Amino acid sequence: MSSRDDLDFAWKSLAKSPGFAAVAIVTLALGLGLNAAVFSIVNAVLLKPLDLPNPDELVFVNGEMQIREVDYFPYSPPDWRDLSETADLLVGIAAYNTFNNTLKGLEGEAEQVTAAGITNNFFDVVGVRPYIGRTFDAADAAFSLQDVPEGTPFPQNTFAPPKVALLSHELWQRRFGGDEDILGQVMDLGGNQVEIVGIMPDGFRFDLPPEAGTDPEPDLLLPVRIDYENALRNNVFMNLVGRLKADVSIEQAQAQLDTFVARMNDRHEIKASVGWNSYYRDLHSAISAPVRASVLVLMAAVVFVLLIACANVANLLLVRASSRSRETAIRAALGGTRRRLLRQMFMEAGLIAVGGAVLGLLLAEGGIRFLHALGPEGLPMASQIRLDLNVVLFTLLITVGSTVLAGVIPALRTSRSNLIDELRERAGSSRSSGGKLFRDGMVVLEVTLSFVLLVGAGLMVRSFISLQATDPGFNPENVLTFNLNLPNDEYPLPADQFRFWDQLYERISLTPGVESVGTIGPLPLNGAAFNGRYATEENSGNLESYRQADYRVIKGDYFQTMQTDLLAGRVFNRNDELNASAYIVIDDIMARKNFADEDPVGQKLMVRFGPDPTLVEIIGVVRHQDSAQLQEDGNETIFLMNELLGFGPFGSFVVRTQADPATFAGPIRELVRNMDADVVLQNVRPMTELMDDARAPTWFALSLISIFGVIALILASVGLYSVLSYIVRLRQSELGVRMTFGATPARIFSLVVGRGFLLAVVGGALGVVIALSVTRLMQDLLVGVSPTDPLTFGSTAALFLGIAFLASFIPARRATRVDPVISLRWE
Amino acid sequence: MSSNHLIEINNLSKVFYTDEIETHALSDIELRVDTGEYVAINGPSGCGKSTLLSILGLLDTPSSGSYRLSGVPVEDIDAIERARIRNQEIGFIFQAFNLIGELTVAENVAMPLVYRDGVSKRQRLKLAEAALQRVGMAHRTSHYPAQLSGGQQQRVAVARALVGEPKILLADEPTGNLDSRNGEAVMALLEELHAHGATICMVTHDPRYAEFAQRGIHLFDGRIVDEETIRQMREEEEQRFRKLIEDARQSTSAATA
Repeated sequence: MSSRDDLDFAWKSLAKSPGFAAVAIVTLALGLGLNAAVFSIVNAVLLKPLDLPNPDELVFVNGEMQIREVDYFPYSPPDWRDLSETADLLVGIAAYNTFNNTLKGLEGEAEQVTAAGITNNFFDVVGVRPYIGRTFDAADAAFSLQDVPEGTPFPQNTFAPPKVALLSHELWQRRFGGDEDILGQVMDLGGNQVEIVGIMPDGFRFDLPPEAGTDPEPDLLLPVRIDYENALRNNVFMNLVGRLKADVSIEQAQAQLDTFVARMNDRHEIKASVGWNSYYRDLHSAISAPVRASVLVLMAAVVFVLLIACANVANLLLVRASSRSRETAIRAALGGTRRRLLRQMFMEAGLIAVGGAVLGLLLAEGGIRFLHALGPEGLPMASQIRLDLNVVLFTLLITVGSTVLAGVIPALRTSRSNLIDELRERAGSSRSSGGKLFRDGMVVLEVTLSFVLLVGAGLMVRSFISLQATDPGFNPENVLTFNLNLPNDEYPLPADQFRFWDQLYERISLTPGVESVGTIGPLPLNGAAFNGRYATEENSGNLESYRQADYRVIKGDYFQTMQTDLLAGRVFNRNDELNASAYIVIDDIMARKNFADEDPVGQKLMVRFGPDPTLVEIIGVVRHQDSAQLQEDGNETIFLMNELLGFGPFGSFVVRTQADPATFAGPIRELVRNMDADVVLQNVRPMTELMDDARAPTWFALSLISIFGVIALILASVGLYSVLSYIVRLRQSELGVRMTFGATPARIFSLVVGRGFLLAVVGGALGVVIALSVTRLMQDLLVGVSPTDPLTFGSTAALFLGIAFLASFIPARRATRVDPVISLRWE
Repeated sequence: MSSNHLIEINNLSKVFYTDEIETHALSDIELRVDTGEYVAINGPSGCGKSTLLSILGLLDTPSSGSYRLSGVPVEDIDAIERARIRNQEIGFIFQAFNLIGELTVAENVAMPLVYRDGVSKRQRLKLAEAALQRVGMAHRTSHYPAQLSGGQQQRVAVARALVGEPKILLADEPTGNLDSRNGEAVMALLEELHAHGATICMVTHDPRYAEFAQRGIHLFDGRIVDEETIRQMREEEEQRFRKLIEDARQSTSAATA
């Protein structure tokens, strides 16, 4: 007989037991499918190189302020220029930051678009070329004061509006129908006339680490035009990416950057006082770093599920092999060598694994769609998650591994049996349970692994409950939020812009069902950062005593609208606004850090909102409002009036409504359109949606780990059930003997349930030991709960005992119905 | 009505129903066994010996008739009480020994006492050792059944039947899986136990071993028959067989001629 014959034999053998084959294939498919689906995340986020030329040469330039504990601090335009002139070990260093703008003209209605402001060397550094048209040149990026609207105050007048733009392929198709004649035409962007000079390739995206807060898929690219000589060094917004020259290591480049940092700290006292530093990070690693741990935790979770599935299939194969031991013994007696018998068993395990892999890949495809539907907010390169060649190869690899794991021991055990043993076993006493240790071991392994997974899922559930109960510092119910951009040509000066905003405040306030309206920038929980230094009045002379605080620029009835808790003093009133009084409101974190033993109200802080430091008075203390994540308190915060900032109006609108805020979006949009058809509302969202977004990463991990945990639990329960059922079948004779000698049905029931409990307790105990160390890896994912939370461990243990009882119940009931007369074969 | 018989069976029948087929395994059985008696139940395969033994051992219930054990009617008692009586009043010996492979010899013998309230583990093992002593197997307490010969396994099974000091021992073909030397040794053991006062009901189809008993009961097609009837039936059977052979021989001669 050839291998082909063995394959035929295995195929026919499985076809004769379709129930067994189906259960084994589905079990393995669950494990393989989940692994393929989660590996597609690992592949997209951690393994696959960025879809850019020579991605290994790309570095992210990370600025930081060590003394003020600010981990990411973008560059100012002058600092970028200085670094670019110094860093000759790099091809170049380009800047990239995104913002919203209003596009109108040419075709269609005015719409809000995301624009990326880039330095003109971006294309050379990143290595992309337009699909059609040209890139930006030095002339496109050259600053000219003549292009700045007259009357624009300093420092806004150090920025000139762009004159040229590249469109994304998507915008080009959507708005302009893919018309190539669009090149050279002029469109209105935020009141500025901009010529379209090119179209970016289809699918172009540019990811930066999440701390940069940039949009990877902008609608258009614009060259930044900055007066580098006069721009402020404390106006930091440039996210930098560099490309190492060929054969230059990141360490060599870093040595050069260190010299630059030292020189800058020597030159600028303020930089030295904050511990300013800068370092290069491999771009891909920097992008994936924040999610690396959670992605690996998910991968570990599905590996556990696969191991459980393999243990289940191994058990099934062993049970099947035991029931066919006589057949195998006869084959051996008739001349079948051990090698041949092994090969036949392996063929069977292999066929099951291949079936599992095919079904698993189909499941994975569905799983990936589900992943996208879950909307993994904050997961970089999520759109790259797909079933590609890498995922298929990985699935093939783990299929081979699964075949070995699930097939080797049952095959070895079965091939060892012989006819003489078989006959001897049947002759006298009840059969000793062949493979008992192995079967029990498999069940214990399944219980152990699923226990660890369920503890993980339990911790995630507790985290989510914790997050749900987290007070964001305001009442998000019945609050509508939105942004709007005023075209520069119609509203060139801050006064013009304030006038529009004031009118809009008044009209929104008069809308029936609206209780109050205000603005804030940045909006809580939208992830944007705006920060600056501060010091108490008595320390203001010492630069090193300054710390960094989040600034929140507010206007109107912001605190009333958000129903923020006032802890001391008062909030701003209309008089304060009209007089642009040097007042601020602080949050309780700042109060605790700086005025632990005294009343903060009436105290003064030295702050720097604009070009010059300002001494401001604290008039009130409110509860802290989370800026990006609910799970962390974030930084101390200063609330200041928009009028005090010196720029024009800034931030998002917040509107408190008496009914569902979403129903007010239409009327407010209409109201704005009536005031000016060129002004477009954007990011119109109820505040509760931002809350949901803030919970999304936890929800994402919670959903996945819970799904894995439930599948693991089901597999472990099925494993326990099938083993106990098999044991009952195998021990019929023994049970008959026990009943003959006086065991009552209750004693027989407890004998079987006790066995199930024993396996569950041993598995659970091992699970506790492993979970205690494994759950520490989840630390970053957890909110308000310890990785060793006793409640989670305790409830998981209780759940397992319950499951063990349920899984044991049917086999135990069956055991009590064993008829000793039949099982002992009197006749 | 009360009596002094350990076992008293009146007009007992057992009918099995399989699909639409009705099988009369036992019909109109009348049987009395007194304390200290050694009774052999014999008959050909399928005559109902084991069904009768199952009913005697409270492992099965009669379809009709009455069964008193120690004067107590037992045909209608519940499963828990049956288990208690089996545990305390009956000892079983099987043809296939039915020792539990995962338990040692001592644990096997002590097993019936596990289901008896108030017997500590220490007491159980002590009683098991004593029972093993009686059957000459005290030197094998820590062994597992698979490490013993068939004869030794059956001795252990006898010790297990004795350990609870039952009122009656029920033995189902106790020599059926043994060679003649071991079979005779087991029969000698049962005879010795009987000599020390044990009541024994033994099912066997081997007339040689039936002779070890004080009294023989013959079963044929589910009925108890006397020895004269058995002799007549055997003769009729023999004549029928001879005739069949003769007919076959004559038809073969005719064909070759």
